[in-house]
Amino acid sequence: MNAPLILLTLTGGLAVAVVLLRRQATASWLMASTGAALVSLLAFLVRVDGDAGLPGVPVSISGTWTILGRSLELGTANRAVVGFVFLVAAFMFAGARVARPGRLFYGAGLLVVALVAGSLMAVPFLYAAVFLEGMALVAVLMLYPPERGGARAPMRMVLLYTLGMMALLTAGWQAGSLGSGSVAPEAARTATVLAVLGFGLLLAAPPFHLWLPSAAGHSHPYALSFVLLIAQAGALFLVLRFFDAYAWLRENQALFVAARWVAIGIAAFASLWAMAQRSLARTAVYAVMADTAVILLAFSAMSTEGYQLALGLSAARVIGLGVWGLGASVLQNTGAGDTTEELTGIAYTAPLATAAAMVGLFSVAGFPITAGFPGRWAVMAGGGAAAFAIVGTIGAVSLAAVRWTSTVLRSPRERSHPPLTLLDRLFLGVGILLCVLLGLFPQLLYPWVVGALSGLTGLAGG
Amino acid sequence: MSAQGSFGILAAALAGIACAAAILVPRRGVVIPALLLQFVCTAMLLTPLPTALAIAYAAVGACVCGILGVTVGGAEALQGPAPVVVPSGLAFRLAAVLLVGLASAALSRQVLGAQTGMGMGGSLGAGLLFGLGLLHVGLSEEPLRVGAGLLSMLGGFQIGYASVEPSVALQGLLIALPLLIALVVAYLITLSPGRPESRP
Repeated sequence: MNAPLILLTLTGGLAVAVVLLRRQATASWLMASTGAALVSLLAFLVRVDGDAGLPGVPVSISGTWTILGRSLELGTANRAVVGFVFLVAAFMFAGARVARPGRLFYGAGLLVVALVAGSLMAVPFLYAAVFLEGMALVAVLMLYPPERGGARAPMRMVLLYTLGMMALLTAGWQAGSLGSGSVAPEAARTATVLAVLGFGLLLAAPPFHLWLPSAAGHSHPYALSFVLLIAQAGALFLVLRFFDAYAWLRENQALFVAARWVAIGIAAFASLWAMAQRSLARTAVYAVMADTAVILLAFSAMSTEGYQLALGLSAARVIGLGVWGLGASVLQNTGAGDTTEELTGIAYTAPLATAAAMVGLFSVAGFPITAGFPGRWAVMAGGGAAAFAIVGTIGAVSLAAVRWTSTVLRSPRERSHPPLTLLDRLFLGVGILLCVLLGLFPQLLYPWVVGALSGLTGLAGG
Repeated sequence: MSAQGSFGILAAALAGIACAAAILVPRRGVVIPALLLQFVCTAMLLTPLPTALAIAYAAVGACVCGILGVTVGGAEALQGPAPVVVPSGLAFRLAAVLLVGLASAALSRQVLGAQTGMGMGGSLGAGLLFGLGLLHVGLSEEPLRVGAGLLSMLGGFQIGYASVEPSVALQGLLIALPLLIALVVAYLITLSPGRPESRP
């Protein structure tokens, strides 16, 4: 028996079960959320290649699943990240009971998580790009379910992910000929350019973000949040593994300087676009893009602390974007809409859902006393141009959030709004509380998330 | 030149012509036979791989065309004629096909031939399929045509990648990928037009 096979079979089995049970909302919800939580626990607890696979269970479990000469491996290097991805999925599946993102959400969501987990376990890790391509193909079902009709954006998304996969596979081939040690930057130029292009495509960095605003205008906010969180976590860890594996990449100072300036450019672009939007979902999408720029700024510090902060920021995003998605979904499900006109005065008729959407947006913006702020504060402590860029990003995206807050608080309009159930109130309330709690006590979240880096010895060693 | 080399060049030329035909002819009915011809020619150019994998690739191509054919047949009955591709002028598309085709053929020989040691047929096929596939994607909006362009690009990439990556597992995954893409394209074709997308 081996751990990757167990994890993927369990997830695949859960996906099949929730598809079969899709007409029974409560059963699907319970199965997807508790199942993902259990798989996450298993990834954290399973001890591979020892006498006892699980604490108290005398079964030997191998950490490697070999298929036709290539393998999937679960070990100290990736255990925490694999567990983290399943935990994020469990968190999002739990909220889906209130958000109601569509009948394909649980089944496709579990497949998406399984493919991202597969990408995190793939050895050699370059093959992760193929898993992420598969993830993008399945994510189309979540972003564009049958009930929401056709659109152009999914083909853009598939195209950009396919190009990203091709760029990374080609970069991997070039990297293979360079080896993992130190190489002169000039000799590694082609591989570096291809790798950076691949990262940009997978992280949806401008100008490769074209599918994102279209998806925001069409997809269910909660499905969009889920896909963004899981896909970008997989892409970020692939970037970290790339830098961990190749000294010529992580020792290339010019590359890190370039990354810093590119991140500042993305932050400026995304912040300005976030302020200009008249759609709440698009504002959130550009806020996420600005958040990605902040993660890139943390990464460009070229230090272990910077890499740890990049991971921590991606974990903080889960709370902010998840809570925004929950609030925006409840508003949209009850017919409130997404535009400035439709949401004017909505706070008077749906106060809790509106508060969740706004607090989530402020958290993604990195506003003080929300979950997104402590990581930004730590990056700012490094000083330099990055600090100014982060202050500017927090200010600009928060301004967009303030504008939305003023819109929803504008003069109340005559409209009827269905009352929320106790469960809806509970989830929305807990979401808001989490955003604030993790903003005030970041030590609840950061230490164990940044511990995920310890398995990447190339990066953790500085 | 050996018979195998001439055969490779013929397969590459046929693949390029099929891809160009799919771009130039506005009728939807041309896209799927052209795609099938591309898959067969690509399979012939996957010479570095075991023969079984090349045959599997051709079989996947047949399945892809079957899936798309059945879906398009059903969708046309529901939705009526195909929308006009943008830009739609034949002269423009012909000029674009010629320019991109020639540039891809020249570049592929220089880049792929020099770096991977591929034969003339392989590098020509990879370049033509990738370049013309990219052009097809750029000139199209409907899922069938964008999907066909994407599959052409992937075919071109696979010809090149097969010469540098010996892993059967990875090549197997890449060979299965067109099937997944075809399923997604078929799914998108069947979706009725939804809420209009506003510009980002």
